[in-house]
Order: sequence, then structure tokens, then C-alpha cells
Amino acid sequence: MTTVGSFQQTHWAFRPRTIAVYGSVLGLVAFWSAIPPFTARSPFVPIVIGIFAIAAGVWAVSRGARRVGWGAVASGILGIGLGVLATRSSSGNLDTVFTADLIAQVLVFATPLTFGALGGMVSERAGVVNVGLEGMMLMGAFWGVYGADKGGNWFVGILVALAAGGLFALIHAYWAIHLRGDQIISGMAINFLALGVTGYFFEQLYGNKNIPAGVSTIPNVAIPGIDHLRFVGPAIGDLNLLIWVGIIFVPLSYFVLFKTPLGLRVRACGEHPRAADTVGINVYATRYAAVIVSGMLAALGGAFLSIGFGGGSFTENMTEGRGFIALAAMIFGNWRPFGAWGAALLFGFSTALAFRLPVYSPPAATLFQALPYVLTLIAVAGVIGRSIPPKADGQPYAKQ
Amino acid sequence: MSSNAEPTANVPPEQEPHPDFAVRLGAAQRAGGLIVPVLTAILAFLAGGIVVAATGHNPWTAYRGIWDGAGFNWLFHIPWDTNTIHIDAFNLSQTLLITTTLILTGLAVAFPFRCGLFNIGGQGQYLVGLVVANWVGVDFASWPTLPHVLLGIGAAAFAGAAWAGIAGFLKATTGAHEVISTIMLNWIAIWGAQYLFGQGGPLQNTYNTAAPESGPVAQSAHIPTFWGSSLLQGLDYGFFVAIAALVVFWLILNRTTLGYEVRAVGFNPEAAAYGGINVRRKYIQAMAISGAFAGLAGALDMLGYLFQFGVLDVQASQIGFFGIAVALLGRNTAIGTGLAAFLFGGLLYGTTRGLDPNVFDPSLAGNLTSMIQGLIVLFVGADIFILYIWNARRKVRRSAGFVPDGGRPVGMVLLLSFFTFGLYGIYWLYRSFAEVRAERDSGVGGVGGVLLSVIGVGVFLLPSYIGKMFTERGRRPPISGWTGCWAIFPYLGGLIWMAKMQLALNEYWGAVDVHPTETPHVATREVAT
Repeated sequence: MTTVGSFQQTHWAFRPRTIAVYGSVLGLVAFWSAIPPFTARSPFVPIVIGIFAIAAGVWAVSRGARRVGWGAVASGILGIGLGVLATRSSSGNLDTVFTADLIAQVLVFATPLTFGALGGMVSERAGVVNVGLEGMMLMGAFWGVYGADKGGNWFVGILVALAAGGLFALIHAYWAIHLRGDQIISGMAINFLALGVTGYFFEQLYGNKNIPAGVSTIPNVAIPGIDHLRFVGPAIGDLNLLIWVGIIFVPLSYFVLFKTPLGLRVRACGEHPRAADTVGINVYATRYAAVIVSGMLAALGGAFLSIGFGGGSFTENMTEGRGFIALAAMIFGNWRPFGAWGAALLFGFSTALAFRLPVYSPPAATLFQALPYVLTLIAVAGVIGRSIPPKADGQPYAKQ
Repeated sequence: MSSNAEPTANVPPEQEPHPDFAVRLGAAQRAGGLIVPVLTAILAFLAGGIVVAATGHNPWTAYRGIWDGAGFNWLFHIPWDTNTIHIDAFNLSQTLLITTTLILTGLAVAFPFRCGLFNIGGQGQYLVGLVVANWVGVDFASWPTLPHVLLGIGAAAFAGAAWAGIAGFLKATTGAHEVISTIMLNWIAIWGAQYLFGQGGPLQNTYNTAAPESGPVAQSAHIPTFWGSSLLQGLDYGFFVAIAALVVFWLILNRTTLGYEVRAVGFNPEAAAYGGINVRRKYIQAMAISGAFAGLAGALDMLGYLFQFGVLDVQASQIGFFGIAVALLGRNTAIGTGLAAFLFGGLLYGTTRGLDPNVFDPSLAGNLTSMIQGLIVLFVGADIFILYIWNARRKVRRSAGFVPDGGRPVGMVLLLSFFTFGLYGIYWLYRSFAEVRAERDSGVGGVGGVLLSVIGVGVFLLPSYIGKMFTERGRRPPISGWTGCWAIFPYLGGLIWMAKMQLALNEYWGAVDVHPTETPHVATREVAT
């Protein structure tokens, strides 16, 4: 009883898990201290801050918060490494790489991943593996710009994108739930099919011409008051509407999935569908709904590529594997909204950085693009705490 | 109990499906035979044709153009002109070049499938093989031809095996799902290859640093061509390596202890572990062998006709992903994978460079290929659906009471065939194959039997099946596959063949007490054994 008592007395802000999160943030600060706008030139600054991060991580690991704790340790080591590297680089190079735009750019790159990862999470929490995110995203990208072009309004484009992504998700759902086919196979089929369908109709409807200029695109949101501030203004003062929608969807999906009866039902279908069925939850309907929502979210991410940040354009295979990075982000984030978002931001950051690294070395910048996949591979291998999917993820359910 | 020997041979659709895909696939495999993949492909092509028609093109001319572009019409140019100056012969050689790659990337998916693993990482393993073959081909330029080629192929296969082995190792040690890890390894390989061939990369060419391309493979590492000119991308001897790989695949799976254990693990890992098989080790071995196939594909491409590869080529390459469709359509068997690779090889070449742009726009057709690929994978993925259709068909057939009591009178069969100019004979072939199939629960079935008879195989197959029916009942078979030789003699020989078949069938149906129309099939087998 004493252990339980002492556990309950600990304020949440001082629990090992929370401390570990502080440690992870400190690791980032260690790196941040060496880059603009602070640009500490002495290597001791990032080293000292990083040691604090590692210490927090070790403390948390020794008290049971293994996964987040090791994350903090890794973050501290990375922070020291990158921070020291930054202090030894010329400040001119640093200024071109690390500007306030970088934050805006991270958010731009992270947004399709956020939508995709949240979509994948909803589907997999309900027990349907969705490796077709890439295809659904691609459908959203093409039909989004088509809708915006023919409908004359970006909002029509979003609606068409949602319908297209939802339709492909419906195919996946029918195969996975009704026909009880293999979910990975039908997911891969969705990817191939989407590649063919979008490419075919792009050629058919637009031929060799591109999408005409002046297609209605999703507007940016200029926040009055902060859009003219120094540093903060260029960072978040004038972001695309969908970026904000994506950010809002993160706590929203957390709330719905983990704090409402509806979310409990969805998760029950993914953990133990038989038990869910026994207490009167319609497993089939729940899974259908989850997969379709998943496809719509992925399609939103795709629409952001074509009529959001893309400025009303489309190219064949436009998503270029972003659906798979979104899948990776979801796994890396351990099938949780904030985790997935954090991973999406991290992967977005690595992509944004890769676009700026050529000032140092072009080959290294290319190699940097592989980082998200390496990290996810490490995460599924369970080196730093294991990623654990919902228990019934990928298993077809047959009513009795 | 004999019924315990094959518990999953007949999975009725109303039962809960087994959670392991490999088990269900195995059941579907036994159920469908040749017909289901053929139906799957036809359905996919039909659906693709509907899209083509709906967008205002003529699907017939489109498919005809793809057929010609793939060089398939060359097969009907008799006498065959093997000179590749002839455009059809050239097209076919190009189709076979792609078939070579697809056979190997298909095997890379098929082999682990038999172990219950789904390898999506064929593309990555292929790229690793490509990169290593390029490195060996460029850097060991002083070597003589044969060792140089062998070194390139061996190193690439080994690298592919190691790359896929990572996924197998992770699955075996930490339980990381192979689908996730192979997807990640794919993208690591894709970016890695772009780094290596890209600007400033270690494998970039030395003479033009502005071009993000590899250096050209030295002449000594080129695999010689045997059909067409080596200057015009002729068909190289790698084709035979791929055919040999099909044989090796079959041998490993069906004639070695490793293959037996791999299939046992694929069928039921728990039972295999209980039977003393080291399941983890099989996972690693299956993935490594799969990666070796894919790495081999990369080597044959690089040393056979590509010789050079650039960053843009890496981004555009999809051939490893096509291996998934090839393996699934080929039902993870050696022959099936070979045939499916030929189909997709023709489709890939016939919709791109082989296609006459005046007939059908290649940029549309290339996407049509992706669509058909997606549809085929989609249809194969619904194994329960296929099983359901198949079992429903069989149920209908059983209840229809299809074998007349005591078989059919031989004289009537012969006379009817004679007076209908052989039309009844085709129907008779269909019925006989279907009945034999329903009785034995294996075989090619009615349509397959007729199709195979057209190419001459069926006349040997039917007596062989009938002979086996007798053997399975513990009786001396009156005929065997050799009886098919009668059909070689024109007219009279065919009639004698037919009579022999019907006599044997009548003897069987008359002697077997349990008539297939009256008793469910499973029960008859238990009585028999």
C-alpha cells in the first residue's frame, strides 16, 4: 500500500515520464542554443544542457519510464552532437540554414505527415492495418486540385478530395472487413491502384498541359498581432489554413479516441473485437467508419500537397512516399496522437533540414532523407522501448 | 483418423478464417488451381478496359496495341523470324528482358510467402543488388569477363540477402513485423542509392560530375546477349539465370529439408516449433533467400542491359513492387510466378516503349498498367471471396447430380462427338475433367482441362488423373498418362483415346459404391481410406 500511496502523492509534473519529456525538450534546447537566433559559439553551452537532458533521461529510466527515458537520453546525445557541430560551423552558413522560415517549413513538411499519421492511427486503432495511406493521399492530391479547378473554389477541391480518399478507403474497408482479405495486400493494392488512377486521369483530363495557373488554393491565415513580430512572425504568423487544421486535429483526435465513449468503442474493436461485439458494439460499422475517416484524413494531407502548399499543381506520383513516412510516424509515435504528431514534426524537420543542408554537402543532404525510416526501423526493433500496435490490428473479425 | 491429416484442406466459407494469411492462401491455392488466377487477370483487364472505354478510347484497339507492343504477335509469325530487326521480334526480346527481372522479384515475394512472411521490400533489395553490381562492374575493370560477371552477380545476391536478412533478423529476434521493416528498408535503400549515385556520392561517375549518375559498367562485366544486338539492348543470358532460379525455387521448396521446414512454418508456426523446427532461423533464412533473388534481379539488370543508373532512374524504378503482383498472381509457385512475370513483362513493355503512340497514348497506357496491377493484387487479396465463389460453384455442381449412373455409354459418346463434328467432344472433355476434379479434389478442372487439351497436355493429363483415381482407391489402374499417346494418331487414334477414357471412367463409377452425387466428398474419402 505504501508504494501506491507514495505514487499517488507525486504531482504529475514530477513523475518519471514527465521528467523524461523535459529531458527530451532539453536535448532539443541543447541543439537550439547553438543555432540562430541564439548562436552560442562555445561548445560548452550545448554540452552542459545536453548532460542535463541525459541525466533526466537516466533518472526516468531508473524509475520505470523506459521508453520516454531512453528517448530523452538519445535526444540529449543528439543535441550535444549536433550542437557541437553547429558551433564549429561558420555562422554565415548557420544563418542560411536556421532561419525563422525553417519553423514554417517544418510545419509545412509535417502537415501531410500529420494528417496521414492521424488517419493511419484511427484505422489501426479500430483494428484495420492501413498501408494504403500513400494511395489515399495521392487520390486526395489529384482529385483535390481537380475539384478546385472545375469547381472554381478550393473548398470544393477539399470536398472532392475527401470523397476520393473516402472512396478508396471504402474499397480497403470492404476488402478488409467484409471479404476478410489480407489487409496488407489490399492496402498495397490501393497504392498501386491510386498511382494508376491518378496518373491515368491526370493524363486524360490535362494531357501534356499542366494544371492551369490560378487554381483556387487554400488560403494562408495571417494572425493579426503576431504576423509582424520579429522571428515569431515569419515562423507562424502566416501559415496555411490546413496547417492549423492539422495542429487542431491532434488534440481533437486524442480527445475523441481516449476521452469519449466513441473512442473507447473504436479502441475496443482494435484490441479485442470479440469482447467489443459481446457488449453490443457493432464491430463492422465501427471499423468501416474508422477506415473511411482514415482515408479522408490522408486525402486532406494529399490536398495540402496539391492545393495548399503546392499552390495548385499536380505531378504524377506527387506524394513520393509521404504516405509511408506518415505510416512510419504513426508507428514511431506508438499509435498515439501526440506521439504521431511529434514524429511527424521530427520527420518534417529532417526533411526541411535536408533541403537546406546542401550548403554543407549535397550527398549528406540526400542521405539525411533516409533518417525517418532508420529511426522507425530502430523503433519497431525495440531498441528504445518497443512500438506496440493494437492487439487485434490486422486481424479480420468474423461474427458468430 | 485420416480426417485429422488434412484439417484445412476444405475451409468452408462460413467458418472463421484462420488468422494466418499463409494458411488461408494455402487453402485458396488448393481450391482454385489454375482457374482463379486466370479469372483474376481477366477481371482486372476487363475493369481496366471499362476505364479505357469510359474515357473515350477503344479498349479493343488499346489492348491490341499493347499486345503488339509487347511483341506477343511475333509468336504467330510462322515461320519464326528470329532477326530482331523485325520490330515484333525486338519487342518480344525486350518483354523477355523485363520478364527476367520480374521472375526474380516475384520469387523474392513468393519464397517468404511460403514461410508466412510478406516481403514488401523487393524494391529495396533489388536496388541494393543494382548498386553492388554497379560497384563491382565499374571498379574491378581489370578482371576477365567470366569471373567479373560471376563476382558481380554473387556480390549483388549476397548484398540483397543481407539487406532482406535485416528484416528477417528483426522478426526473429524482436518480433518486429516484417511488413513494416521491409517498407522502411525499401526507403532507406531508395535514398541510399540516390546518395551513392548522386552528386558527390561515392559511386558517381568521374567524367561528368554535374550528372547525378553512376559510372558505366566495364565491358568485361557485361553479360553477353544471345538474341539481338548487344548495342540495341538485346536479350542476355541472364534470362536463363532467371529460368534456373525458378527451378531452384521449386527444388528448395519441394525437395529439400529447408523447403519442407519453410513450408511447415508458413503453414503453422506453432505446430512447426512443436515439431522441433527452429522457426526464428527459418524466418531469417527465408528472408535471406528472398533477398538473394531480388539482389540477383538487380545484378542481371545492371550487368545485362542497364550498365549505368542515375538518381532519376532510382526514383522512377517500380520493378521490385511489381514482384508483389507477380507472386500473388502466380500463387507463389514456380510455374505461376514464371507465367505471371511473362504477363507483366509484356504489359510493362507493351504499354511504354513498345506501344505505338498512334494507337494508344503510352502515358495513359503506362498508368493503365499500374491500375491493372492494383486490381490484380486487390482481387487476389480477397482470398475468402475467391474461396466462396469456388465452393459455391462446387456445391451447385454436386447437387446437380452430374455423373449419370454407371457413367456414359461409350458408343453414344463416340457417335455424338462424330456427328457434332467434335463439339460434343469438347463438352465431354469439360465434363470429364470437372467430374474427375470433384472426385479427387485436385486437378485442373473443366475449363482448365479443355484449355490444356488444346495445347495437347490435356490428353495425357486426363488418363493420368483417372489412373490416380483408381490407385487412390487401392485398385489397379486400367490406364495411365501414357494412354494419352493414342491421341497422337489422327482421327482413329482420337476415337480410341476417347473410348479408353470413357471405359475406364465407367468402370470406376460402376465399381465405386459411394456415388459422388449422393454423398459429400469428404465422407467418401474417409470410407476409402
